[in-house]
Amino acid sequence: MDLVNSCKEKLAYFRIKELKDVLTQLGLSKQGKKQDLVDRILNVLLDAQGSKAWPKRGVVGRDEAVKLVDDIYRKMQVSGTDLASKAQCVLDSSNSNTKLVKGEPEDSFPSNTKVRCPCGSTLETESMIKCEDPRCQVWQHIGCVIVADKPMEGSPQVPEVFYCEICRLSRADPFWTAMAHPLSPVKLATTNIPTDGTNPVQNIEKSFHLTRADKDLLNKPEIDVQAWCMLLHDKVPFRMQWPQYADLQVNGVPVRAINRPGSQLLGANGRDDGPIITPCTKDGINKISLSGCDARSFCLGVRIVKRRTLQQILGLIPKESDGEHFEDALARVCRCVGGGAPTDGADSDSDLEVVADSITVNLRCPMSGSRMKVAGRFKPCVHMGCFDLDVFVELNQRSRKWQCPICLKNYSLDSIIVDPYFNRVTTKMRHCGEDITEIEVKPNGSWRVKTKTEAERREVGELAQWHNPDGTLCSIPNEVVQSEVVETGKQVKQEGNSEGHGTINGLKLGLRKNRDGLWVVSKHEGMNGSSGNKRLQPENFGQKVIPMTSSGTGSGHEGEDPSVNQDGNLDFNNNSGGMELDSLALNIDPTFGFGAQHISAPVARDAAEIIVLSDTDDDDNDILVSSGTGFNNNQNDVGVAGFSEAARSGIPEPSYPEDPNLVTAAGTSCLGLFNENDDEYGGLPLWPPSQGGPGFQLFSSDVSDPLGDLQHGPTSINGYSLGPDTDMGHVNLVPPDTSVGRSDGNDGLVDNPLAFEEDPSLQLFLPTRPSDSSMHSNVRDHQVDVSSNNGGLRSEDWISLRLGGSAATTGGGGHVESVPLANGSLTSRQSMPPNRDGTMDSLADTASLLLGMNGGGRSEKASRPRTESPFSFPRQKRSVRQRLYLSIDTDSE
Amino acid sequence: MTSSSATARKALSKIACNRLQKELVEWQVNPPAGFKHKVTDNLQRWVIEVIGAPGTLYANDTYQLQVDFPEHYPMEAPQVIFLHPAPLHPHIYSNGHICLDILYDSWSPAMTVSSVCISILSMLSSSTVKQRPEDNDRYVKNCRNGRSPKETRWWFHDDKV
Repeated sequence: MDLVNSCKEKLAYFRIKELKDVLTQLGLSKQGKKQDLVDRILNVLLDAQGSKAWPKRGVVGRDEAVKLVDDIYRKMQVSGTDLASKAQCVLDSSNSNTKLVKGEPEDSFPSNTKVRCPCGSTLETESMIKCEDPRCQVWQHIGCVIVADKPMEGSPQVPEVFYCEICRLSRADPFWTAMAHPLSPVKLATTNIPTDGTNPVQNIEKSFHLTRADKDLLNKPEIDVQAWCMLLHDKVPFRMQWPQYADLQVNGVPVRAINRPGSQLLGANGRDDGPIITPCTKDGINKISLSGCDARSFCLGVRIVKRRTLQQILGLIPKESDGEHFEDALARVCRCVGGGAPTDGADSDSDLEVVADSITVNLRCPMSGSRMKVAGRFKPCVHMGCFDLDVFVELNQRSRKWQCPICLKNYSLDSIIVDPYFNRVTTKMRHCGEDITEIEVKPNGSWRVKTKTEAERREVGELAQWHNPDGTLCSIPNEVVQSEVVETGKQVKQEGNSEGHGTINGLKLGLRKNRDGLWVVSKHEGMNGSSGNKRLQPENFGQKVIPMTSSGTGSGHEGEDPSVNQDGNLDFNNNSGGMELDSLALNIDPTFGFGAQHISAPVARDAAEIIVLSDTDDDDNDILVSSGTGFNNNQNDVGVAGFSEAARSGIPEPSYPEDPNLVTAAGTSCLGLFNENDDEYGGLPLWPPSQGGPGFQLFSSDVSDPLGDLQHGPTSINGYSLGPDTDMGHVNLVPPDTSVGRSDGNDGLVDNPLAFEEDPSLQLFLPTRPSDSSMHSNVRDHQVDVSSNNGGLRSEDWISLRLGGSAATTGGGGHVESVPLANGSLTSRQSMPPNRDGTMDSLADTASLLLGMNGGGRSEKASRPRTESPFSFPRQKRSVRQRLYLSIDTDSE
Repeated sequence: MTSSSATARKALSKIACNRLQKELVEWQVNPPAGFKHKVTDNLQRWVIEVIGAPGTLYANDTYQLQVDFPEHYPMEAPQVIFLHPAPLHPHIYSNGHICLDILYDSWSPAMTVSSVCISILSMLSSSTVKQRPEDNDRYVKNCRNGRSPKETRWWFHDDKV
């Protein structure tokens, strides 16, 4: 009798709903007053004790009733605090109760199972499956709910994560929340299986009961009766689906269940809805029937639903702090931005390092096309792409898809969270203009807003500076002023530790990292008149600095280094170096970039030597300008020109025609160069066909907005980048360390140029006046002999800039002047002017290859007519000895 | 759902409208290579001229794509068909319907008109033979009443072309 008493006490706390639940489970009538219901349950307990008065129910008797009461009671305890406190008193008063309530082992499957299956049977069988939802955990028969689409296909695999129909339904459309289920899901029965292979007819006819209380509820506008139907074992779990040719009738009134043609199946992207049948219903017993012509298994149900508003749905999404740890989000971003750690690359790509210092992330919502206000995501997704939470939820109010727009995986509202990382960014950017949608992100998670124009930069203010992942400004020990005002003589602190990722040789072009991981361009002591300390953003620098050798074209000095020219050496020596095919491919206009004036050949050198393109024109002031622009361009364009020694052989002398018209010469020679090597490449797709996409336009001569294009095309560019893996090693041109070049190619080329272009810091490197002779004082002094420095350079992340790359390393004989990377850009620039002074003389001839980059475009230098730049081409009539003129024109007007 | 329902489509939702305007601006700034948008004042129906990529079977051929946007674009895929004459292609029916998964099951709201165009051009370019699909006649007959290709249950079986 203890049991009976304890149950009695529990039942005292039951509401009508719980009592009805118990009675339903017991198969008893649910009619009557509350006390009637309680009595009826107690009767079961008492009766079952005495006589076996339940022939029909068999084992379903006292034990089951006790369990039911216990289960429901426990659920109430969990859900309601009110009840819990009361219950505690009850429990205290009865030891046996305590035991019953708390002592039940979790794993006693058969005994405390709650079975609810669309087949209608509550019998436990051997093969059961449990609903994943922690609030549901109902058990169902595997044979009933895990069914193949076609009867012939055998039993499908049991999914790892299973939800019952009710739980699937609630996720299918969270804008409806179920208040009650007048008709629990029932399976449609197949009446006959046609032998001709057509779909069998299924039908079901059921009745459901709407109480007066239900009807009262239904008077509220937001509450309705809904008929629903689901495909059992749908591959898209959280959606409704009606059978083909569905014919639904409620109380004899036809109701349109779907608005697609009856013969049309629901595609993977499709979502059916559950029609509202409130107008067809009445108090008491209602009849519903559904027939369809379909071979698959469906279940039908009727529920009373309450409409949720958009705001309510948004309220269901966990707060930013609750959805995901910021650290997790940051880790994901770092992984996506930085790629795998170098150590975990056991694959063949392990020698390829991603060198990009940052990548550009577009904060546009893929749905709306506007910048996200609240960055939402599905928690299980591995990508870092987000969507605008409000827009997404609003769109799903109707579409009911709950599908990640980025990876197309199907989820439910449950999985939506606010991305803690990007939401901080979007929150900080909420006052920015509509057009500003991009940020740059470093592998360590720091970010800044990417701006394209000076006006934009002004608008975003300090957001254009690097921020830590937590949103605070990066502190920079050596603060660099990004203005043109220069304090001379201020030394940028150089901290030699190159830490972190990508300390591969030569990858860190031109910059050093300071202890904060910021790249610092150190000022060269010898540089006079250099603008003060500039801190270059690492990304910009690393990616944008393009070492180019320029051939010193000092007139009259030609021939000083005949050996080089005659050997057909490109002035770039690499000891171990090589060309980077990737970047090469990128730089070259696939279709005929060469014809155009723009050719850049990326160089990746082990030694980290980088050849700086110097200005060849010594005749006029333009030189200075050009050098400035040239350099500027380099950075903008990110063209790396380098040729491995091996490459030399591949380049026929004829390819350096003495063409007064440098431009044309450049084009042809370049073409020649590459063409000639084609054989060696063995048909490697260095220059992918026209599909190249917008990104390639960068290199065409007159692209109107090359940079913009690039930005849009990073993927395409990547796609086209030569697989570094291709065994280029056998190709002369290919350097062993393609990785270096590659990184440049990928990100540097694509993303950074633009940003850099606008960066004031760059401008510092540009001579303000062509005739700024003061800068040119002693070029040579600033130059460091590359050959001696090779090793050192690499380890220290120097980039050597060589003028007149006569390839000292290869025995060029002292003409090579390398500048430490950090100084690189500055130095190189200064070194260029010397041409004019004749200091370049020695250099002049050494460089047979002239790489010119002309970045007219948006940089401030752009104000200068493009034609003035010697690099801008052909108009210079000079007799240059065999030289290869490679130029990239980024003129983006 | 008949042809009439397809053409007498509901007006674009506000979100769809905003999104399409952004796409149009983006297109004007940066049109995909080989495509020209024919200017109209109808935001809901774009007609786009396609020029076959050089070096492919369709080099220098010009076709016209008609893109119709549903009310709830981009949650629903646009309907994209070739206007007559449709290119001869194993996945393009003579009535202009295109068998391309991203137009149907694999549509993602993250896609844009521009990306769809590029996919179509890519599909054209990778074709090795100019011919109609095997079941062209049957399919076209089925669609005689002007059915939308979005009502077709496509079977995407060929990942090569």
